[in-house]
Amino acid sequence: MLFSGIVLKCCLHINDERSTAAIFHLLKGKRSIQTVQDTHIYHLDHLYGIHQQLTKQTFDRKIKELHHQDLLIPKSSTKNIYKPTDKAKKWIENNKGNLPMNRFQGLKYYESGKIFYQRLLLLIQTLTNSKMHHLHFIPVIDNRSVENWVREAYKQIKPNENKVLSKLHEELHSLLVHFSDKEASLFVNKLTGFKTYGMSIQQLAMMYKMDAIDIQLLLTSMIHYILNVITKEHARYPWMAFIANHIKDNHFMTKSAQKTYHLLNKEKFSIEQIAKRRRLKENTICDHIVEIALNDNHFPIEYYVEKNTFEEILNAIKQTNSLKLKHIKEKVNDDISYFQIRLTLAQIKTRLNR
Amino acid sequence: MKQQNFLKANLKKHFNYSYFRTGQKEIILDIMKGKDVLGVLPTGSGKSLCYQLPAKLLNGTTIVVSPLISLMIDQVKQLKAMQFKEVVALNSFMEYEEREQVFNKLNSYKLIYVSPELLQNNELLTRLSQIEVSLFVIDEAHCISQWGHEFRPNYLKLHSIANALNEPPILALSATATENVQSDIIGALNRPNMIKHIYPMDRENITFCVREVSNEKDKQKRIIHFLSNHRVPTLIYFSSRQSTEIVAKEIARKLPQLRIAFYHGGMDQSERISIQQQFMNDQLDLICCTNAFGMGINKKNIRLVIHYHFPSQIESYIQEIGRAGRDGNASLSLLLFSKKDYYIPANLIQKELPTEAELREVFTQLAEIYKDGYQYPITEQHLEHVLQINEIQTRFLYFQFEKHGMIKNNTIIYEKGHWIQAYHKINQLRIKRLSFKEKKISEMIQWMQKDDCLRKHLYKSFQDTYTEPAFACCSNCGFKLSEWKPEQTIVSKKPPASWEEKLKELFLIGVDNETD
Ligand SMILES: Nc1ncnc2c1ncn2[C@@H]1O[C@H](COP(=O)(O)OP(=O)(O)O)[C@@H](O)[C@H]1O
Ligand SMILES: [Mg+2]
Ligand SMILES: [Zn+2]
Repeated sequence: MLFSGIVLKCCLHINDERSTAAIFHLLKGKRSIQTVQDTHIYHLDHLYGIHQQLTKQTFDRKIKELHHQDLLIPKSSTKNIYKPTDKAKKWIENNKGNLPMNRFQGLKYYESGKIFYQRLLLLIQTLTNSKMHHLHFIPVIDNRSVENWVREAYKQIKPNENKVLSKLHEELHSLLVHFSDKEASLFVNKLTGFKTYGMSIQQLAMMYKMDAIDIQLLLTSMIHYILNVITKEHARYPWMAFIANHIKDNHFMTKSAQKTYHLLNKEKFSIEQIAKRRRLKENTICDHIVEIALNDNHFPIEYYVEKNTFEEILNAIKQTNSLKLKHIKEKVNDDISYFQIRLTLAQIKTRLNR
Repeated sequence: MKQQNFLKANLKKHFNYSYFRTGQKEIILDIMKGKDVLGVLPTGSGKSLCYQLPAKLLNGTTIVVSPLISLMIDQVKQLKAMQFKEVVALNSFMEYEEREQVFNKLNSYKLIYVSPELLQNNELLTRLSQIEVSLFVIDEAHCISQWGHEFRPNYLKLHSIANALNEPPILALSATATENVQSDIIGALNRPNMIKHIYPMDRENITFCVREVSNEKDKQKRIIHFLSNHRVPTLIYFSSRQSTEIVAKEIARKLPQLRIAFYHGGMDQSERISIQQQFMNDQLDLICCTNAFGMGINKKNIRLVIHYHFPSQIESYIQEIGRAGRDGNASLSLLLFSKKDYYIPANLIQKELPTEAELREVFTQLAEIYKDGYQYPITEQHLEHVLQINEIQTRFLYFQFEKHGMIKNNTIIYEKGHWIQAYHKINQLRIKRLSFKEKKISEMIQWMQKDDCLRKHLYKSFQDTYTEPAFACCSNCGFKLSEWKPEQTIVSKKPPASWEEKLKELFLIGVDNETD
């Protein structure tokens, strides 16, 4: 149900301008220029990367299901583009109360949410086992950097183990009160302590009679919500804030784009020079620059898109009333490149954001 | 004697065990002398310790080849939990950076687990050949034999890999190896002086019960009825992933008081660990699983192993029931079958080998790829993808192509006359393997249909005698299900009434721990 709602919501925002693959990449958090741009343009930041384990198979099955339920209709049979029906709009309206859509902050937490949750789970397992002098337990989390963090945290906490454990309990308790009883109990059932291993997603699905995928999404929504609260009120949740602290900042740029950024900014290289130096295609470098433009509020767009050109593209956008590159390109002068159009779109987006 | 005391002291020190189990000391003593050893010991007897302790004591690094990644990861976790830290599992799923880090300090590990597939990687092999390898272990060594129950072509290359690693002593381990398979292992490794340590695999504390039922419904009804008054740690084996889920849900519906989960290879790693650990912790009564569950699981008090589908060979059956009763207490194997089930394993083995038409198609396509002048390396994954065949078939074919010189260093080598010959040879082998597997299935079915002692017939191809059963023998020697009275699991603790209570409990609020 939640998954259905999310897919429908995406379709509504995208309004048949993109194929379903774009939605798939968005939910999965693909780090490509195209996806990032889609995320911004269609105001789906909050849903970006909220289901990173999503498989194409599951996703396609859902699209088919929604189609069968008359919630989506194909726009053109060949291109995998679907349009939400009026029934879909009603469906969303009717289920609003059951769809915790507003809790998601995908773009902000798609990475840190995962790490925060893993730290939390492993820290609780460690502290409770330690309290019972049981140091030979099999960690629930299989992630080196999280294990390292917990090891360090544990060293600090050890002298006041009992106190911290009860503080952590208090904070988590008052956070879980924000949710419905069912949601809170689901969250608690997933936790691992001393000689109690948390339930698996499949088990929770069986127990709460929900789809496994909805369980996963629901947990993610709760984690995002919790992160949001503790960021705002860190004084009230010092231990939770401690767990959320110093998670590597959301460098949204891909590593490769970061390198380009460096060469561009520090070394003042041109696109050609960077391409040569990095042995990449110029097109790839252009992709990076669009990515940079999306992230850097001070990006000097004039350098690549002259003022006149910029205006011309803006006009074309207004005329076509579309954000589709192809449509825009048709309306502008032939020497304006796709790269310039994309940069302009990126710029509009970053401006809107501010 | 001195050496024995030394080993025992170290057993205590590093693993906190007071005694060696049957066979362990004998095998370890030979390893410490630098001998090549073949150890055949039943499942659960503690074969891993036979290399883990030497790994701690020998100077260099011990390399363990193990066919299942999940198994390696489990073992590494258990070792780390026991403070054995200089251990790592290498597999192809490692992230690039982590892999680099690990590759750069291979010599700092005492124990390295690796999959046979990864050992094909030249970079890794070169790096491993630069460190001191003091022992080369082949776990599940029956995979080396075409006539073992799970042949892994890549295992046949282990001989040349051992050579590349400067010929360290070899320890080959298996739970089920007939004499044929044993000589295959020794032959394939080319270590004629390997010392054999073969121990009987019969289990005196397991009672066998085989029952024919009329159909699927009947089968479920009986299982549910039996479980309704036997709450003991239980495994139910199925031949497909889907059926584990369906039947688990059905049982859960009928017996809501039981704590039930399913488990199969299609689940996420974290999900699988979670189910395993709950079962280990007695948080679950019953797991519906495929044969992906069990290897490396060492829960001592599994009382009941049910086969909802019978396995495709006696060897697998022995391995699966071997998970019951590690603590020595009376345990039961219950196998239920209907006439319809006879066709299931036959269908499964069809999937493991290509049909003749498929084989021909694969040859044609491969020739086309060659003629198109395809530039990229032809790997197993690539083949699987282009030819649209499953992983097991690909593994079989790729190995054959390499063996017949049709693929060398990931490149296709085309020669018409040669390919025609190869085709016939591979096809013959295909037919031979198919009939071998069919023979295995019919052995299993014949065993199920025996009307005299099941125990006697089960072990006869592995050993001459067996120990007198400690409890009831089998359903053909007069055992009745109604007389089985194992100790029942009592779940005394009431589950917490609210999430708040549960959270409090989980955080041990109000629990005293007698320090500080
Ligand atoms: N000497 C011993 N004393 C007590 N427990 C042991 C000993 N050797 C092994 N074990 C335990 O026996 C269990 C099964 O061992 P494992 O090596 O997985 O069996 P196998 O590979 O033969 O199936 C493990 O839990 C292991 O810790
Ligand atoms: Mg083993
Ligand atoms: Zn008998």
